[in-house]
Amino acid sequence: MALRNRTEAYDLSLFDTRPLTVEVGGLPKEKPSPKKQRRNNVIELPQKELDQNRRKHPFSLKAAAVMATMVLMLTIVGSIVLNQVQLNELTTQIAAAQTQLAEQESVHTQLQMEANANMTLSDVEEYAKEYLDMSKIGKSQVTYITLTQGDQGNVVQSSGGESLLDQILSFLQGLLS
Amino acid sequence: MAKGTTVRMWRRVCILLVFMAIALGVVIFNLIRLQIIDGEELKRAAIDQSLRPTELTAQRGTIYDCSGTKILAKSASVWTVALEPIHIEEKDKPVVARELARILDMEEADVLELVNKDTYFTYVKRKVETEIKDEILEFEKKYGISRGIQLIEDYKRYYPYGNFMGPVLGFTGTDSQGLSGLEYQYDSELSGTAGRLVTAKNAVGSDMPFQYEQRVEAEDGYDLVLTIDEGIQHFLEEGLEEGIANFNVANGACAVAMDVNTGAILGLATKGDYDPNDPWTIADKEVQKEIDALPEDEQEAAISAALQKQWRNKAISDTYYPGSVFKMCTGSMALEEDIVSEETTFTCNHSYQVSGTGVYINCWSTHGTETFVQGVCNSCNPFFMYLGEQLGPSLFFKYFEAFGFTQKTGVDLPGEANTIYYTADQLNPVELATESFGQNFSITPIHMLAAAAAVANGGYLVQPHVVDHMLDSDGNIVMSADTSYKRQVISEETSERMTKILNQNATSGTAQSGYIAGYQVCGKTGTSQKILEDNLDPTKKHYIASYCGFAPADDPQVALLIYFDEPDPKINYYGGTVAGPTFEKCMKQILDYLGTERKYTQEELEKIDTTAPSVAGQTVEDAVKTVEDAGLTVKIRGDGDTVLEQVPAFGEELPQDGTIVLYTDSESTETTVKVPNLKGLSLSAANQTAINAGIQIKVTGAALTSSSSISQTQDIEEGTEVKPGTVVTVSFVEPDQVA
Repeated sequence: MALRNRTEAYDLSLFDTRPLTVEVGGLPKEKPSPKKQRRNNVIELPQKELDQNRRKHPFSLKAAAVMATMVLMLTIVGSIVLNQVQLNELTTQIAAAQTQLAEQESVHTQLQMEANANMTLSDVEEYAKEYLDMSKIGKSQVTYITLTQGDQGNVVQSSGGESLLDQILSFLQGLLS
Repeated sequence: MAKGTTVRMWRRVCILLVFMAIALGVVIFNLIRLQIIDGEELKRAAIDQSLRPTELTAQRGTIYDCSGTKILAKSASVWTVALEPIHIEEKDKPVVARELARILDMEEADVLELVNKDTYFTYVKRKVETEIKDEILEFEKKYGISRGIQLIEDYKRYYPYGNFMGPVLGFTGTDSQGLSGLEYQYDSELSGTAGRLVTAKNAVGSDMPFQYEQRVEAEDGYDLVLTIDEGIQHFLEEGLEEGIANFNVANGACAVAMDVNTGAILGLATKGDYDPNDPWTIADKEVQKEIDALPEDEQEAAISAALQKQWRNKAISDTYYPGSVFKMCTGSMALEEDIVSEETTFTCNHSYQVSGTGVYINCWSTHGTETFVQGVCNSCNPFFMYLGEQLGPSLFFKYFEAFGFTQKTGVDLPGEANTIYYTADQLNPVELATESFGQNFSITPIHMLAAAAAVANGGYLVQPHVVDHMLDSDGNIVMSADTSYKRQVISEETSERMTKILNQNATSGTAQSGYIAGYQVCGKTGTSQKILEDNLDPTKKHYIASYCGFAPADDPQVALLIYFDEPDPKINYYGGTVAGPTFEKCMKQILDYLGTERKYTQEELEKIDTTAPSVAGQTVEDAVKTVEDAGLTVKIRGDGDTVLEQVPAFGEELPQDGTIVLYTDSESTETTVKVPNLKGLSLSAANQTAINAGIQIKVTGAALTSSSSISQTQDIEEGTEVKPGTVVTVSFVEPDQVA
């Protein structure tokens, strides 16, 4: 049986509607193959269009736009990542610098206190006396001025009175002040 | 028909759909549970897991003196060294112990004991400086020690001038909390408020900035600017140390200087004090030796008592009988109530019978008939008992209360003691009589000084205070001291009259030891017996010697109280003798320092010291002329033509008829003489002794106003080698007027 060589369980094509035409001689006419049918369906393009199609296409705008968008996206994502990395790096550096600053400020205070401890008034006084030949302020360094009752201060005033214009100006200034 | 879906296929599809629905249901259920039911909790857990809060420490405020620039206390971050002994490798332990002991200045055995502990954490040394920390880091690097030593950031309070102002400043504890003095009183203001930084952390614990970051800045503590002047404080501390040494004072001393018009305390010194940098060490070596000699079980209590004693601010926390110093208050009451005038007379027969009782109270001397002014100058107890009687308990107590003796002064220092006194109802005749001359009630030195300021300033009771103003971290003033007076106790007229009497007392009365030429000092001495201590230890007498006064009389500015607790009675214990010279020295330095103008009387001008002109470097001929033109005598030593050195040096004070010694060759400059004993001599004897020894003396105190005074102290010790012509300052007191 021919069916033994087939993979399908049923040959459903057997149930397809067949054309009623029967060739003379009793033998059915050979069925045209589908390939041949498709070949027959080829549309012949006009020469002009063929020539146009043969021409080399320039890079299409759509593809360029897609590419550009992708590049832009990549750039944005890349720069965000890069910025974040830099930000982290700078933050770490700032934190380290701040710690160092705080530490140095503490060292400054420590040294300042140590220096102050060596600069007590007793030490300063002793050094000033022993090494700089200095002495405490005394009455010899102060000059007192005695004002007797005869000493008077005179306030000089202009003898002339103000002009009318000056008086008006003074009056206006008085109002404005 | 065979090409369509079969029933079996439909069944399979249905089963698949059921499974998918169940799976979807589970997913949706879990989604609801995670998002809605447990959402908040999980969200919180997630935040807790990723967020790390960090405390931002507030810097403790700085304490400045009145200039606002001189730092008296400041904080800085330091390091605490700790060990994780369990993480230290066995082979490293000896080297860790050795090196840490070397760096931290500790005993190697002690550190080794810590290193060998079987614990995860132990402290080695707290609050070490950055320099030490760096050394430890170097050591770790050198020996490749990566675990086991921890350096923890900590804070340390620095007091750069050691025991200078120790009891006033106080100190802080291990957590930087104030424990004593101003540090305790103003702890909340100095501490500030800690801040908080909340940040997200990634898996390895690094900060993820800008995500969930919340920062609440720390508010640093306020800075305190005190009313205390470093210079004045120095004079007081120096004066007390000298007085303690001269009179072998057993129980410490204190001195307080106050602006009489505002109540601002310009200086407050207490001895024996301590170093706030090391408050837990007993500063007095003698006390430490005594404790070391005690049995071990008694040492702890003794150490505690000694520490409490050294932390105590005597001016605020100790009460005492003010003694005769209080007579300025009784006198003011009597003047105000017109019970007495300057000319009112009274006869002192040494013993006074308290009226209505059979009780007799003795005077320290017999003064005979005297005016009120003389009574004050003689410090006559019967006169003041008589005044007390005239005032009566009610009126006496009214003024007693008005002077502020029944309440705390409210000074901004911790530990102010309550006063002990009799109320008007409790004042029977004997109590009234004894209180009238300053006995039988206890007040603090600061109470007495505030009352003296009221007598000086027109009768206004001021508020003593130590902090002038507070600054925030931006330098804005956030608090200023209130300098308004509390009340007027006596009238301005009474104040002026009492001031004149006290001025006379310091010029020619019992308070002459505090006299300063040109400064019109007003003063009153006080000697009070410590009855309780006498009862506890009858083998010796216990006294408090004090001197309280103010100056200048025509416009009082500064009031000063000097107080010595238990001077050696074998040397002297009277206020005029013990406290007077210290008062004179301190007050003179303070007024000089403040630039107060001296106003000399004609009599004073005749006795006033002069200053040495500058002649060093001049030819002998020129130098002699310059010195003689200044009215001084010249002595030339050596054979040179040029003056190589002069004694006294240029600018030093010497008597008007003093001598300047000129040294003209190198051999002569090496000559020295020994300072003789100049104590316990009359003025002429002291002068002669000085001349014989080749030196000269400058006198202070009673010798300027009295001919019967005797020398009490000398500023250069006996036996000291000095150059011929050196001027030694000798203070004199009036031996008969020492109450």
